[in-house]
Amino acid sequence: MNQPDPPTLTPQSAGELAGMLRAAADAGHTLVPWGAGTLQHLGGPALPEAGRIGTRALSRVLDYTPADMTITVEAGATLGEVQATLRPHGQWLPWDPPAPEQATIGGLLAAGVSGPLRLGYGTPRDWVLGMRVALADGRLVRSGGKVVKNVAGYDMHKLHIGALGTLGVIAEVTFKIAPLPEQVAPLLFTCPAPAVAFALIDQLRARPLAPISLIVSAGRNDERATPGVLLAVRFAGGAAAVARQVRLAESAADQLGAPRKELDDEHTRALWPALAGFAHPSFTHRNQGAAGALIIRAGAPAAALAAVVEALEQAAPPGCAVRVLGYGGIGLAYARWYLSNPAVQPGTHLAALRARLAQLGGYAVVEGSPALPGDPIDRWGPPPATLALMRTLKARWDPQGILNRERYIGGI
Amino acid sequence: MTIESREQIIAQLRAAIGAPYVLARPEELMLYEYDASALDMDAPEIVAVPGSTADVAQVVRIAAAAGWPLVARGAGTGLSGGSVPAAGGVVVSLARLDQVLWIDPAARLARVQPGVVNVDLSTAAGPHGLHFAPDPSSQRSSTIGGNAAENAGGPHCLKYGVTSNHIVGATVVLADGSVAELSGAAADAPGYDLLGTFVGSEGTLGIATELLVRLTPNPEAIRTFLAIYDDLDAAADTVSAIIAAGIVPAALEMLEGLGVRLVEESVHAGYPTDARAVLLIEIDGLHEEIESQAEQIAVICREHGARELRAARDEAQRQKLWAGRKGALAACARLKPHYHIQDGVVPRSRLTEVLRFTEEVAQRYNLHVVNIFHAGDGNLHPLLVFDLREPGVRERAIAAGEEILRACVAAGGTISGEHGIGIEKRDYMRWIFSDDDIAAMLELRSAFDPHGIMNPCKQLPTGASCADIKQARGAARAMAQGAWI
Repeated sequence: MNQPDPPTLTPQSAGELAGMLRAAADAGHTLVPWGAGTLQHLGGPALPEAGRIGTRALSRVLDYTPADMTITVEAGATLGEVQATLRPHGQWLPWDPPAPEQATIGGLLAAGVSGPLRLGYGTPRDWVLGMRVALADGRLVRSGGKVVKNVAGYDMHKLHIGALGTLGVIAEVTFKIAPLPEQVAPLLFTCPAPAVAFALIDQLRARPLAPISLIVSAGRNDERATPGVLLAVRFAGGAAAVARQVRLAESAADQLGAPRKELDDEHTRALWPALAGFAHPSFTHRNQGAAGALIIRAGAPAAALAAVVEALEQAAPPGCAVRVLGYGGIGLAYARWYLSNPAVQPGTHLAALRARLAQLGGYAVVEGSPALPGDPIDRWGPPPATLALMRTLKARWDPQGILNRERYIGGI
Repeated sequence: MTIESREQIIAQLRAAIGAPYVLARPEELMLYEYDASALDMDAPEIVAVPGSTADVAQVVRIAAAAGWPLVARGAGTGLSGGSVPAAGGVVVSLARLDQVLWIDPAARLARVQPGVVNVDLSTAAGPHGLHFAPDPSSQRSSTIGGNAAENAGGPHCLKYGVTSNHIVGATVVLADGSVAELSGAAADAPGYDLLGTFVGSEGTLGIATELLVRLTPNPEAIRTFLAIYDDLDAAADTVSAIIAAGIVPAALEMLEGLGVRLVEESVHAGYPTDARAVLLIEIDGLHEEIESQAEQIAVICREHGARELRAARDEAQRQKLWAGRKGALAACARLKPHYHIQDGVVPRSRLTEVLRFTEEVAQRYNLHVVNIFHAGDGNLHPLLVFDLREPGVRERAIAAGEEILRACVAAGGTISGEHGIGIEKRDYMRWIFSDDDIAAMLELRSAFDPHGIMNPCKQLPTGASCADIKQARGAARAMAQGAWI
């Protein structure tokens, strides 16, 4: 047990990053690309012998002309740092993942995390214009560009989004950016039953309403939580247009018997980061059981969201408290199964969940799990039919498998 | 390769997808020699017109077994030679795959075959209050499959994003004839984003036989303006000022100089023929937003030197203004019969200087230039107009276009915003990408297509020229061509 800590490499430039990767590949050392380390719970565990290669020192803003509405930053900058650069110019990256003040741009992209804003603004994939990525053999390669429209070459950068750093280490990113909306109005509705919340979601998506977030929060065996189902909604835009949408939303909620829940400013401010950070292991909840929480991400076609939320509640081990966040209009849901009893092994329950989701055209991925003796969690579930193609691609860019070995789907 | 083997392939294809759907007579093949650019031409040896995903898979398997190249083709409206069979082989026309398979209004998704004409999808989605946001100027003829292959966007990319943002899944026939599903309706499914790199790959990674696309709700209100300028800088400054005010218009298009007059004479859209430049500005959203943005835009246009601002009073007038913009290419035929349209992108803040440079270049090469473009995106389309019957004019046009693109790159931009790289710009890729960048792209390509049969000679510069590839398998082609005489 007294193994020395694996070494951490801290390159000071993109060139140095690439050089260190080349040296590691030559020596056959495996490496874990490391931003701020806030999302290292995703994917399989890192090999004990793997060293870290950190990007935090690469944190410069390389290019920002507000009139062009694009920004190029090094991957080690935090999202908070980038937003702080943009805000004085009335601009932002409309992206609200967990822990934005700590997490780095490169890490967030590699993890492929979005947040409640994605209904209105899409995912970061839609905002990335180009990247420079260090491949495992030390090549520093570019794709995309710095302008908002560009079809030169393959969008290789999209492959690195959500790849957990298994295809390369992101060194530099160019984003398209957006003007800050004149006003953002948050609303919270208490629904007596899930069906009411989903009916309200449907109404809130009908023209002229265009919410930027629709997050339904439901649960099971969750006595200490607010009774019923909560629906958190945001509208953004010009003040008058937002005001009309708020009125229409309140009236729709009234008719469905879903009263608006008033929050003071402080709670309103705290609500949205909490929703964004719900799937993060650092999220705390009064239901936190003795064994901790199994964190599950489930996706399915948007129309199946109600069934997905129900499946996440029903498939959980008997007796354990469950909280689920569903992304209305997206078909994405996150669940926490609070395993009160360390003896409970969730494997069979996970299999049942996956079987149900498969019927809905969906999947489930385990994003975080407590240390459970004797129950190796199948994090990824059945691999897609294109796994062979993914392996071939991995072999082209990281033939020795030095980057995040065995952590990605199919043991890539 | 022998003449028999061509005959054998024709026989196999006919057996697989039906004799009427395999074209091999010279006069049939001639139609597939070119795309809308007319600068690059090359004939296929065979054209297959499959009617299903299974048919496409069979065609690919037959061609792959013989080592023949395959080039997918939609409506052939591409402008960079993407569907020109540069290495010969089999052109796979997707014209029969032209069905909107279903529309799910609640999910705002549609599943379509690649041969669906872009505007027909919006027409089909219209009764549900939805449309397909990417709308290239060719939307009345170009197909969704071609739009996806080229990531071809159009005016409304400014607010709604490029085509790849609107494609959520694809059924794809890969180079070995296998059928793969890339992404789909379930958000964030685990695995590499193969779809993200497939869109815009110009048919080099496979052939899409079905596309799952996102539909966008029709806005509650739309307002379209024509801002008229006597001065080019004033028009360009207005573009920047609108964006700087935090307004993201649905579209922000510019027509300048000669183009305004040609369009007006041809389309009668109501453009003033004496204007130095006009901006076509469209905003959409909720009524309140439109009202306040319309007021802001009026102030900005006036402050930045617009001579006049006209608002479309009704849908008919709006359509007329757009007919002018979308009919611009055809209108230029009034001046000279041929054109070479460029497709460079610059940061918005560099628009004016590059626009002026296009004029200088055109003058130097003794050509006419018409600039009609997506100003809000910085996506320039200098249209070099000429008559191919003039000796040497083709070369002059290509050289002038090359200089313009170099200027776009020097300004921090790129060599294609929506038309693709194809044959035309393959060798320009080295201006923006290093050898390592291109090698990584070739590795990606080889992961999908290890034998390089999918649309070879396109998009990426390679060591071997297409002439070499053709020569290596040239017997069949030479014989076939001989047989045409």
